[in-house]
Amino acid sequence: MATAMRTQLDRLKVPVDKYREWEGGLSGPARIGLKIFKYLLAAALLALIPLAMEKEVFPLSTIGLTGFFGIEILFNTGYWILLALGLSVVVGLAGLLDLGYVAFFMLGSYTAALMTASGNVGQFHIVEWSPWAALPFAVIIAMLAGFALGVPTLRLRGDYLAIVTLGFHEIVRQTANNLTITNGSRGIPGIPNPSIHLFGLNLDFGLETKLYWWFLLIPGILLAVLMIRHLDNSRVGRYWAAIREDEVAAAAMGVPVTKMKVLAFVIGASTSGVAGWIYATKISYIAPNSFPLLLSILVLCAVVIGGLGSISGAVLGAALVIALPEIVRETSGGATPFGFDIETGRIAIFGLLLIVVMIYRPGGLLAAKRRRTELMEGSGTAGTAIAADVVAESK
Amino acid sequence: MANVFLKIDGVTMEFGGLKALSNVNFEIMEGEIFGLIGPNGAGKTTMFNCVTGVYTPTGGQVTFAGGAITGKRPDQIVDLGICRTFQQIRLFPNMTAMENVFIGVDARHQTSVFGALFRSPRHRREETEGEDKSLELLEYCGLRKYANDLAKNLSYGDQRRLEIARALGTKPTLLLLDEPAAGMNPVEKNGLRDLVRKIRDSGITVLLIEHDMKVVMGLSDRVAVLDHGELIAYGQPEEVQKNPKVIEAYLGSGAGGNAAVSDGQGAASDNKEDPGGG
Repeated sequence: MATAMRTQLDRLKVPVDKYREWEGGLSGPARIGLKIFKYLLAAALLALIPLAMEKEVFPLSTIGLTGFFGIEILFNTGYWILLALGLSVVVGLAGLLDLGYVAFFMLGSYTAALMTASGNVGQFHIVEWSPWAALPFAVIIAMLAGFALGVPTLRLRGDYLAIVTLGFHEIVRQTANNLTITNGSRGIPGIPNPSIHLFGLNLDFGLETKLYWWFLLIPGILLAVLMIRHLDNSRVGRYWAAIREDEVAAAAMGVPVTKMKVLAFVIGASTSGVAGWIYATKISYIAPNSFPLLLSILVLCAVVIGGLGSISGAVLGAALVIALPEIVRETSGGATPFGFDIETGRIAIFGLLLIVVMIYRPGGLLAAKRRRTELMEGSGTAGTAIAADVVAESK
Repeated sequence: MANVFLKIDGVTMEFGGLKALSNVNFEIMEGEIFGLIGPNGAGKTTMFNCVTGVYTPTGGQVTFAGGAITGKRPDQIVDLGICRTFQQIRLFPNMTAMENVFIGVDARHQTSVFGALFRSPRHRREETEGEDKSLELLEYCGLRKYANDLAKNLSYGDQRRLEIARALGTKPTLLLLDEPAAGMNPVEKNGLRDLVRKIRDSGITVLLIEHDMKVVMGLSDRVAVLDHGELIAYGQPEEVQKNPKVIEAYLGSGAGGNAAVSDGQGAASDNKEDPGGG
């Protein structure tokens, strides 16, 4: 009965979206099947990118992302997508400004390094495990760090929280810089690459087989997307939105504010743990200087450019932040208009683009549904459209 | 006689040197509409904050349905069955009316983080039930047609009703309304009166802060009057209206004994509260 009334209401107010209507009417197994199909399709498309690079297919060939170089950029974009997705949960969904996000990435990297490196035995490693065995630990340590940062900083909001997270990043970096076990500023060399020897399959990850890293990143990214989407379109996501909108009112409506904020930090840190592990095992060498403060700021840039709280936005933002300077370099062809060397000045061009995007698309390039309305004053139809989307996605 | 539902026992709230509440005692019976009145700055909202866990009183005890609730967190107090609205509207402005109510309804949901992650059957059931329940509550408060509109786009009076709908979503047994009629026109006020009575008749005890004497005297079964953080009168609305201390508090000492605080004409009618500020 109530459901019938709802449909009536939705007919009345929501612009008809044939696809969503069809999707909402599917049975349980069909819906799950469709979801699996969508993710497999996405995986297949992502897996085709390196092939397209090798074959120098049109848009990629024009922007210079081809071959060996292209795949390197692809890898960097991949782990940056993981970082941006995680930070998007903290900043975009829960509304907690985190300027030290890369600290979690660094902890993931160092955990991976300390559990696998065989460099100078006895000096800077704990155990000498296979990289695969270190993966869960990298994630868990990053999540624990998220918890550790979340608990004492709960009372802080906005600018104050930002300063504390900034300090957290510096604490982690300085600690790694000064401990014997992390080999101080010299860093940890000799982190082994992972390899797969299963069912007659012999995949040795390495310089010559960069592709494998990308294939490893694809399931990581898709799992992160799935996790964040499910959380966002649920009680948890509504609670985060409520905290972001008005913390006092949220608490008065029974939202366990403390718990939900810590959860945002922990979930956000999890993806950076994975990214840290992948980074450390690929690069084989990490040092405190690989994780400057600028990195934290750039991840935040990626999230903001893409659109706070928007998953597709985080992906696009990460891709832009990593690939854009390279594309500018590749396409400049050594041109120097007005004596300005585009190749060395590519970061300045990138900065300019940031400013332009923020002026003309303040919500980000692919703004999240909710955020979009925050920026569109007094538009009732936008609200209607969101309601339709949110209802459809929460199933 | 009904049971004592909420007991305010010697509650004192000090902010540094300022005593916002000093040794206030009153009891609310199950099933009544209880009015809490007093001039601006008398400590009414502070009392609400003490009951709902926003503040921990510096002295005294708040007992609800037989158990002490002083010092509990706001969300724990919601779990126990107390929910409130705010004097200065605190909706989630960029969420739809339905989502606002859904947040309240979520307070009674059990889906865990893992349930949400793995789309447990409970998650799916609660999402559907929550939608239905939210729409039902919007209907109940006369806001059904705004379900998909953003909260900030509703009119002032509708925002106040939406706050009530959201609070009802948490299934309270005691509902605290902080100046629900502020900023409403006479027609809206009548509607609000009907709504509050309807809520009480559905078995929810109501504690009401209100400046509009017509609304509060017409609705309340009993009334407590605060002035400068002290309880100056407590009882039936008719008695309280005649109490010289109350008249003095509202109209000043020169008003004499004849003037009764009878309707919205006194200094008490303060509808010019800053709309939506804070």
